[in-house]
Amino acid sequence: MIGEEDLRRLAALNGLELGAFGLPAVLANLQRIEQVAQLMNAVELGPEDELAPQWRP
Amino acid sequence: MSIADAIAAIRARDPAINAFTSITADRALARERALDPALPLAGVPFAVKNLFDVEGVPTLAGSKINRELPPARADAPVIRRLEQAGAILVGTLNMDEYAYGFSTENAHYGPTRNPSNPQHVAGGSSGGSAAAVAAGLVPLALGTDTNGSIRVPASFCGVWGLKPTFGRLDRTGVFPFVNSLDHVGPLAATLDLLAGAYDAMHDGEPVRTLRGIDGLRIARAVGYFEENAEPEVCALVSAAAEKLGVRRTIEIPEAARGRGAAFVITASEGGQLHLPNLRKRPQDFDPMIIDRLVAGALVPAAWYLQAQRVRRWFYRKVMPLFEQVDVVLAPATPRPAQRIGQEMFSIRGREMPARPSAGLLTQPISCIGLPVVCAPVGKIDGLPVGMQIIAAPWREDHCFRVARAIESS
Repeated sequence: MIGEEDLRRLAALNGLELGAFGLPAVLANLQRIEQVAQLMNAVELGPEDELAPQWRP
Repeated sequence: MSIADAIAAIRARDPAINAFTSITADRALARERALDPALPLAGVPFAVKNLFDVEGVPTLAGSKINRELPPARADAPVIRRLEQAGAILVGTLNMDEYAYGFSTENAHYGPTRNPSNPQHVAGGSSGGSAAAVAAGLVPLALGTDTNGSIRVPASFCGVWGLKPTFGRLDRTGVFPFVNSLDHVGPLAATLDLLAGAYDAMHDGEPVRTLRGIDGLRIARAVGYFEENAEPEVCALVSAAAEKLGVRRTIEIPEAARGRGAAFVITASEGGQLHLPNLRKRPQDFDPMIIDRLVAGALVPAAWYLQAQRVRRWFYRKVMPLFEQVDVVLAPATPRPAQRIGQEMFSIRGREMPARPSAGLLTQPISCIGLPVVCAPVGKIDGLPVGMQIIAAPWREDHCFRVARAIESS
């Protein structure tokens, strides 16, 4: 699970000063997203599962 | 009722519910003077969620930051189309900041109150739109729906709402939230007006005169859509289905994963959009959304890309269902509106955060862009509840046929 130090590094990489935000609340939100992302990672996808919309006439 | 009377009523009664953020009186009165009474929506006053461009007005999108934007140079095209059909814009409406919420509890502009019980939320993020219609201030409003932001407030306020197929209606001049998931749609006091407004805005076959459900295969969603709704809500949906003679039930496969995909996509795109301002002026955001925006902006690309592919996978899982049925009925919200300020609520004995959980039942459906009419189906302890009438992509006609049957049953 993503931790406080990971969050600090991610924020620094993206030019965000974490002191301006509630770090515990941001961390809790990111951990929640991570939990859901793990649910996504468990899905076996095929090459037909494309990223972009497929427009058909 | 004249436009002057409508505006006077808004000024007198809106303070009690706080639906409006501006009233465009001069423009509305001028339009009324030039009105062609033969137009299909002639003289119908309407208002729009304040993320639609209105000429001469900064597009707030529920924020403090956007007050500094220059005024919009032109109306959003969907506003122009409604006015070309004779409807008259009278103002703009409150919303969750940057559409990131299901309750319209806005730190800058105040909460919008539910007309059925002002201690309760109106839903969101198109809360002002639903409340203004429910309170009788306007019979028609525009909103947007990314994960449920038309359907949740329509359900909580007891009005009709339409989330069309993803991509059906023009999003030009609409401040974005999640480009991959944003939809534009109307909310209305009557189904006829909902259909009339939709017909004014789209280029397909009109739906306003469609009647009859003969030959339509209709089923009620169970599984995820019952497990995540209170028994009283399910009972109202079952009763509505029963009146149509619908006894068939069906499960929408992988709904939890569909919701999850929409959740990750929303977090990432929603956060990334605001990254420049999160860096420069974090203090100017609504405290209700800033932690989610920051977290979302930091989502690793691999998570986001996987979620987009799972969205495609979920679409492939669901579409075979429409070989068996034409329309699926499901609750729009797990329970009626919670109180303003309420943090937690219970669904079938499970305590969960109130605000994000309001979208449990809407989010899987909008994830894959299916069209939905949200119909009011009753009240629980005086608070309305709505039902989703869901069809295959581009089959809004099926939604409206079933909606007409519900209305007259």
